[in-house]
Amino acid sequence: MEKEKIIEVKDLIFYYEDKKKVLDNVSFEIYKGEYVTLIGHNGSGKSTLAKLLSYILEPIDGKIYIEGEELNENSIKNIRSKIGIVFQNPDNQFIGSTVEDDIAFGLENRNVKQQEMRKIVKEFATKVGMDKFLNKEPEELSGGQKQRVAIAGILALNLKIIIFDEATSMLDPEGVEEIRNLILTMKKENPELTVISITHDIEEAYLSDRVIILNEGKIYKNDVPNEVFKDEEEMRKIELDIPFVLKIKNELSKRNIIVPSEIKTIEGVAKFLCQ
Amino acid sequence: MSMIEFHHVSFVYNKKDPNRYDAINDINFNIEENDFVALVGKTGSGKSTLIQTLNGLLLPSKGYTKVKDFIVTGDKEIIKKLVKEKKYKKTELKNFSKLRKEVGMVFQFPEYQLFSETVLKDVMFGPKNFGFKEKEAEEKAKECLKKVGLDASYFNRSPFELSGGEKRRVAIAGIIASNPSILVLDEPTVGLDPNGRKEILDLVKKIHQEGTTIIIVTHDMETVMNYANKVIVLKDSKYLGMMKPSELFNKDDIETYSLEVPPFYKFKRYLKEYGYKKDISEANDLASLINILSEEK
Repeated sequence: MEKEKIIEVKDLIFYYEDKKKVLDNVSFEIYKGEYVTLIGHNGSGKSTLAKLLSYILEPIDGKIYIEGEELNENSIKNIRSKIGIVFQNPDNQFIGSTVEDDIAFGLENRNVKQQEMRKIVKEFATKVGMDKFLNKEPEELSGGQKQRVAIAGILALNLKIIIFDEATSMLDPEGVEEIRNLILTMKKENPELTVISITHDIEEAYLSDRVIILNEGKIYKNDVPNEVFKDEEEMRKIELDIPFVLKIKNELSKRNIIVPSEIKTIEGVAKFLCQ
Repeated sequence: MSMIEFHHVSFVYNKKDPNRYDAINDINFNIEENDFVALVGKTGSGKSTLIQTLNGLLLPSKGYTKVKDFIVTGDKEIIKKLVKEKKYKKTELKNFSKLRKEVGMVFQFPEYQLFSETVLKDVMFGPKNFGFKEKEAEEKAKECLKKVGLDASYFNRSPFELSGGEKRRVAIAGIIASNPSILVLDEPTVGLDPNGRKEILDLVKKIHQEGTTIIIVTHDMETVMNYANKVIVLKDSKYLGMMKPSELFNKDDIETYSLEVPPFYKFKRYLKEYGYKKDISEANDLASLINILSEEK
């Protein structure tokens, strides 16, 4: 079956006032139900790309299509009903006075009836493990919990695409793990949901379906994680590391111990070695 | 004599309030001169509260923090005793300006505190505040900017047009420009990419090698493993112990410390859990572990 294109980025060019190209002819496609991670060091252009995808910035040249519809001033209202964004700073996106209010915010904007709304809020708070916190205020929550509330608010709107814009970079390790696992659970429960995660977390990237690496405003790699990260030296050249699990696998393969490519966690490698 | 001593230090937020919160409870340990110490523990374990007693931003509700000869306490009994024994004058126990020159504090997201129109002026602010003359402050600021890897081409730029890592280096330069003998950094690498993180940590390492005592608060166990010579663990407002990083990560009961174990040690733990037969306890890096693993297969 042919894959259904959900996002198409075509010949995208962007620069700020200094005219130095931040994105230089960037093109890629994302398919329905994919979990794609976008990585690159600071200044590679990935944050700018996130802003362009969410129409916070407008391209200088090139086009972005969401489900075939060009992203522009006229289409943005309709497209916003398809895309949700989880931003970096958990404190800047908490709008409601309680968890319940915050998850309900988007639904209220869509005029969902009160009773129905309560039901939906409860359902999605449960999905992200925040159902026991409905009456809590943001000050009583950790960063990871606030991000989970933001995700519940997006899931409740039944959107097709979620963009995580460095959503874990301000969290403690527990929060990072929470969000990493939540993305995987979300994807399992709703295989049609498309997830794009702009991240520094190469361990997360290794668990995604596809990795796009941006370097100096250009696409450097666009492939499955095992292919993208296979050459450690090459990654170092563009100032990126490779996931630790792959370091172990690479070292073992030098000693003729081949760990199957579908094993993607250190726990899996340990289990394999102990068989 | 230790550089820093915590004597039964406790701190309570909202003491008289129903929302009273004991942030740190009966903390006792010492830090030696030129240590590179990592302070770790889950969010809410009391790390940030504890370090704020080091320069008098918070005064211990009970006990006292001693930094060189300075005493920081809000414990009335202790103040009374020290004054009575004529060891300190009451005014000395309330004035922390000299102490703050000794203890440089780099808070989370220090770049939010940048405010001057040029990088040089921003770095000069600290030393000027501590009484350096204009010319002296300028010389010191230039020296420190060079030390953090920002050459003369940065001096007259606006700090706000720099990258995240560069801004953070400006902020650190501003702190070290006052010549502190102790540098305390609260999560200095949060929000930076791997290169930015390495840059900042290598810079801290350099400052340490030049003789400064370093205390770094972090959630990142790779930082602990690769940079600190000692690690202090706090849990639920209490002190759990001080040890070498490798000692901590090899502990069988590490999960009781509520810490994220670095992947290398996680891997060792999984091997143990799944019944790997050979002795891997001595392997403290991936190369030595792979050697053992490949011998058997």
